[in-house]
Amino acid sequence: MIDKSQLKIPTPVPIDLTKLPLKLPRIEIDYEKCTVPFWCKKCIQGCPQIVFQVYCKKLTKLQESDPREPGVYEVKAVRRDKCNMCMKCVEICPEGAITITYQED
Amino acid sequence: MCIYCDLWGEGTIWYLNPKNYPRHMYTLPKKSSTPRAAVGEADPAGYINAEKALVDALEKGPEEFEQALTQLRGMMDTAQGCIGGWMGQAVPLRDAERMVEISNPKGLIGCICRKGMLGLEERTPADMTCMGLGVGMFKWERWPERYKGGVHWVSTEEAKEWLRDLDRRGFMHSLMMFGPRFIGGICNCDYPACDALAMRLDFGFNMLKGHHVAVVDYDLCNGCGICVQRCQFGALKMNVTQDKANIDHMRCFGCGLCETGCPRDAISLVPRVEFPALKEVW
Repeated sequence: MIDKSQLKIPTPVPIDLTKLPLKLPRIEIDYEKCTVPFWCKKCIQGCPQIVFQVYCKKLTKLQESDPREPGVYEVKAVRRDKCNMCMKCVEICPEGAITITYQED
Repeated sequence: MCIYCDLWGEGTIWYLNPKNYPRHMYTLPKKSSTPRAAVGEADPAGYINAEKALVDALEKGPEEFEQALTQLRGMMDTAQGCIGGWMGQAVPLRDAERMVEISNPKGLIGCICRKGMLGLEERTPADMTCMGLGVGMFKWERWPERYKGGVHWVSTEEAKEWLRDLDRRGFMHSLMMFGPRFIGGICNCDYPACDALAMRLDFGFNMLKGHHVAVVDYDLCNGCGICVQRCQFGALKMNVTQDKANIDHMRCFGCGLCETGCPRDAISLVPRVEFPALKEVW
């Protein structure tokens, strides 16, 4: 077994912690409207900052997940820190499922 | 020395030690177990939620951020056996070629990061940008319908040619660890489509720097700037005053893209340990 307390594990954090908390845009996705994100892919491929990530929510053993089946894949706005609020995803979404808000002081 | 060389190097660089490739007693998931994702895709929802929580913590404050970071690193530690969340390491082309000589079998697969972040389905060998190494790859062939696109087996020479081709296109090579002391693949990454690289550059974990740093020979450099375009880490800048490329060694990952791209062979890779101040910069 590895004794992790004896190891010198590198821990670089390139974020200036003194600047936290940051204010980030709030991205809401309506999952009742957005059901087949991996088949549509418009927000994933249209976002210039690659804010969105899609993942397989429902895994079936020994079967390829069908991207056209509703509810199998789900998209999430993971990298909100990169969002510059260009609103391309809001314009591009065929279901109108994405809303972005930013609270000013 | 990097942590993994300390632990598993046995006198050499750890990824050149053949003992780190066969995962002893590789097990297939039991029939009764819950459906599992592909290797490296283990619980994608859990990983994505933890990553989202890390970004959300930026809004809360420094304590919450560090807590979320520790949680994510710990999650990768238990799930993948990678110590402190260090799952991969940058590897120059020449070492990647030595890795495919050591490891067998080798199969090309679709990249899971590009699937998630760009929605790309790499189904044909020409599109595939990820290589699985070792016995774990038999699982992919057994259930091609389960693992999208299946696996495309390659020989050592084909694997080297494939690596060189991706290198020409400007992909940075890295190794990935799928389980304790088990090097399971060679990834070819770029920012920001590679999740590991994006996490490293933005939040400081997931991918260790390589065992080399690049050094420019100012007598040979003509200031063409190709290396500056190829660097994924912002380590290379154009020194406009002297019209030469300049490398920030604190940022250099030693991936060797600048070396392979240089038309005048002005850039060479030097072992990191030769610079005393860089010994602990990983």
